[in-house]
Amino acid sequence: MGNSLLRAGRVLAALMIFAVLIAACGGDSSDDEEPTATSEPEAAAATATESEPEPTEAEETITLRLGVSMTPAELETFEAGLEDIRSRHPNWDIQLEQTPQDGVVEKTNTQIASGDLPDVVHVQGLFAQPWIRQGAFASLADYTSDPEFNVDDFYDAALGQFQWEDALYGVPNIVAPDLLFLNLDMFEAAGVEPPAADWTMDDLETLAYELTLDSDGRNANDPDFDPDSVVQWGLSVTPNNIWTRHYLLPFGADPCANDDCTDLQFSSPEVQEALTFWADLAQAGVAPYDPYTGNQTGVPGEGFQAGIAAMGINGFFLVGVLNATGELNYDVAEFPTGPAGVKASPLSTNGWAIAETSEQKDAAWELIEELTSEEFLTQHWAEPGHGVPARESVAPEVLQEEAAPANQQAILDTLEYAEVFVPSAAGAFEVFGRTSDIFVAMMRGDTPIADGTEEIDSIGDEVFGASQ
Amino acid sequence: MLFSLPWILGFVLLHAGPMLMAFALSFTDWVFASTPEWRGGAHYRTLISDELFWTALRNSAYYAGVTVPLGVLIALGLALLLNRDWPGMGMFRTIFFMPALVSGVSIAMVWGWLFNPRFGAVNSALDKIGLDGPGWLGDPRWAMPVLISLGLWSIGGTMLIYLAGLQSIPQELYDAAKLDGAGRWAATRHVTLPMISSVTFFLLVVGMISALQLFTPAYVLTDGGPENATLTLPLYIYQNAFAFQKFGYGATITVVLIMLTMAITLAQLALARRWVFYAGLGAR
Amino acid sequence: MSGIQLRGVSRRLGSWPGRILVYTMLLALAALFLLPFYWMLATALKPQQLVYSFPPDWLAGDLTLANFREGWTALPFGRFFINTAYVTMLTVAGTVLSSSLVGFGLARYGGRLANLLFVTVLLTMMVPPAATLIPRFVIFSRLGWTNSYLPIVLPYWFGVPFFIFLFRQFFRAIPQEYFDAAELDGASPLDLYFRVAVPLSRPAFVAAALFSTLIAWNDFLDPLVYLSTLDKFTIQLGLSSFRGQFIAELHLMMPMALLAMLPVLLLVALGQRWIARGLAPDLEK
Repeated sequence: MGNSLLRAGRVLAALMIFAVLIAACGGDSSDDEEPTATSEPEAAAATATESEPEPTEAEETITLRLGVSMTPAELETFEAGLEDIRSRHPNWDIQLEQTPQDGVVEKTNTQIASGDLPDVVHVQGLFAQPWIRQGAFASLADYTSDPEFNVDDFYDAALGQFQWEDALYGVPNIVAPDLLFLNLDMFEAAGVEPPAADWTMDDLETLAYELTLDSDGRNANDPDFDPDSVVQWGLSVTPNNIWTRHYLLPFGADPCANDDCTDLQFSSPEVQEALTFWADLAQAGVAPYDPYTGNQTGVPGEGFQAGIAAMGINGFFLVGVLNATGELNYDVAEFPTGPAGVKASPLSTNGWAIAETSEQKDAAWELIEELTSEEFLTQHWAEPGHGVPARESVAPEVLQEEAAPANQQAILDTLEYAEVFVPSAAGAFEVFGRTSDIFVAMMRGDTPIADGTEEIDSIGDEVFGASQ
Repeated sequence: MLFSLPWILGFVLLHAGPMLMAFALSFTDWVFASTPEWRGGAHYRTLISDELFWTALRNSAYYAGVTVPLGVLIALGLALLLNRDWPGMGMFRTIFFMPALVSGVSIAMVWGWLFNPRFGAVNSALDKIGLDGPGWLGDPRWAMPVLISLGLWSIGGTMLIYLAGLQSIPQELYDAAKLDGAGRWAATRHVTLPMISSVTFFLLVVGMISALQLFTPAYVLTDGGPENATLTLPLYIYQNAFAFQKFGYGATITVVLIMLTMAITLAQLALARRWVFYAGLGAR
Repeated sequence: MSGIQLRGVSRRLGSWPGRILVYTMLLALAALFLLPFYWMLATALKPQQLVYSFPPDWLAGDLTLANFREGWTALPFGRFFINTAYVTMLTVAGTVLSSSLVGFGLARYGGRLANLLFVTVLLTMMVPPAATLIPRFVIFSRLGWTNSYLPIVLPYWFGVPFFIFLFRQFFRAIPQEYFDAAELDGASPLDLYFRVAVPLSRPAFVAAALFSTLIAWNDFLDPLVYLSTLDKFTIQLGLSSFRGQFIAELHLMMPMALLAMLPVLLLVALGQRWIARGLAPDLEK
């Protein structure tokens, strides 16, 4: 018995030693040697660009961790730009860290919580404020005041996404407005003209009815129109969450009672009236309403892209997708002007921030300067599908005369007034999560707008009130 | 006891610490870049009046209550059907196991497409035979059944374990049964089922634990909607801990989820004495 | 017919009606199980513009391998496959070895401590990964082990609750007589493990190996938080990189998801036969 226990012990000891051995060769990743070189044939290292360049011994090597979340296509152009920067700064050892979009929230929060955030991080605008306010990022106030950096060149709305108490905590690199996408073939088939530049919400409503067809080819104005057999929708979306302020502003309605939008007033008469406009469209059958396909990012289900909606509201990035496939004959337009005489569009923006825990903030800032220089933005971001450069001076670089859509100028025009999504303070995601269903119910007509908006406001009070 | 040494070490080094920390954090408010703030039992009091918590609890119970027994039953049926050396059985075993090979996110996206009310394959197929399909993931009544169908589709692993269990039954027992004049059905009832009862028990316990952990499909497909019909407890924990910046409250729900799961599991263990048969005496 | 004696079933093919009934049921079910794969394959082979078309295109007209080519080169997938295989091998070896040993200990040696340990095994299974993600990350990052495979692989070498429990159940189901006989021959506990438990539970070992292969191959959360640079990425991280903030390149994700399945599919096709042949020759006279 004792003998066998001894043998059991020996097996276990061997097991532990083996485990420790793996541990040893899996090794510390922060030093420069290839940790698992023996087991991973170098031949497969397709990421030749990733291996560290030989540092020139004259200067001290600074290791800069650079965290991004990009698609393969974005990575390709970005890495090319990074190579230029590396050749200009031979003493920088830039370590590019990629996080798939699906894991950005988990990974970034985990890194923040354990003080392990990369020196420079690419932050998605909507997530920025909560992280800024809990102190995850360093204030850039001392850096951005440098006149050579020319902070005024950036779109104000985009800067606002990274601003907190008079300091910037991030520098935007791209902006992407929403636009109206028009299926020109459907307009032609229906014999209606695409909207003029000065079109209104009334025009949008008229067009939506005219361009909705049932299976017998009747449009929504026809008395025999059958809303249950629609094969072509006039418009692809309606407001479905708290971040759809741009659907309301043209009606002179603002769901935000303060700058931060932490005080909601969805139940104001103006907002209720504006929501009624959209709910009527949804309930008349001219705008399909299934918000849950919207959650399935990338699942075929977006009506305009699928070629079953004549007008769609979508981000600028869709231009890249539509041009890549080349199937749809389309154009873009600015949002229509509402009864209040104004236009509105939401603006997505991403930017660079420095980790508060970074031990080389000066070098990190230099890297950000490089990444947001006019040259870098022109060469590596000004492509459809990648977003518009956040510097006004180089934003026009995104226009491509020979490619669709014809009315590309609408992109730049929209940027003049587009605003970032609010609220983006801590609690915004909770309010979003808890109120989305109420929008569904209001659009479907299951809940009266008055009751639904009342409930949204009280959830806002509860959540934002608690987090103040 | 030396056999258990790796686990003792692993539990102490890797599991116990993080678990205790999560437990401690359930009494705090914690936003990640700052230090946790002591809140006492406040979160536990909040929990009692939090309607969403109760909704999530109901949803998790609904999913687990349907998927676990049904899944084990179907898997056992399949394993019994496939436990023969007729031609083509290997192919069928592989086919039924295939869904388990696809990772959570990609398969959830496939499911989202299949059950998309307007564009999906299921409804366009129903349309062809003249039926009007429901809104599936957009309909509060149907969203959970869609997730359950995804759970049942992925029972290949359960089936595989049953097959392994069936194959581990010593042939002598069947020979003895045959000598006693038992037919096929009797052999199944008196030899097969008792002999794999330890596997069944394992699958029920593990199935219940993992069904109560349902997260990825609910997160990817519906993010808890519509009307919170697919908000499961793990999803609600995730939302609080990561999206809503209420890590402390997330930890509180975690503690409650673990206690509930433990209660169910202990009940299963207690009941097991009545129906699980272990051939090994040393087990006692 | 091969000469293999399958357990618990006769090798007779049964009556014709019965046989046809079984095959019909299996075929119908198989079709249902394969349908989603058909769509994945169709998406992978379709030109990009048809992926989003409506009504859905069931039988894609012009098929192309362009998506496979484009997907393969969009990211260093060759590297990802090698990385994933490496992680998986280490993980599976650790899982099967430690979990079976621990499971054996729990199955054979009772007492309070064993019961207590069994409860800790169950308890660990019940903790949602999201809850312990951060504390665990803190431990490994203090050790300087981030962006290495160590935090991903090492925990498996301490035993995995699911598999510990699985082995415990299988070992408990082994009739006591086998152990008694071996002990009479002067077998040590370790002999009992290697000479009785292992051969008699070979199907369980194959099932556990297959299962843990799947888990490691498809793992997302651990690689996500611990691996940062592309040269360390696993296939799953590569796959999910196709889903971006604004666009999802589904036409590239599906072909790569199918390719990612292939190696494990082959393993399963082979492995299921080993389960079916799980004989125990050492003990059968």
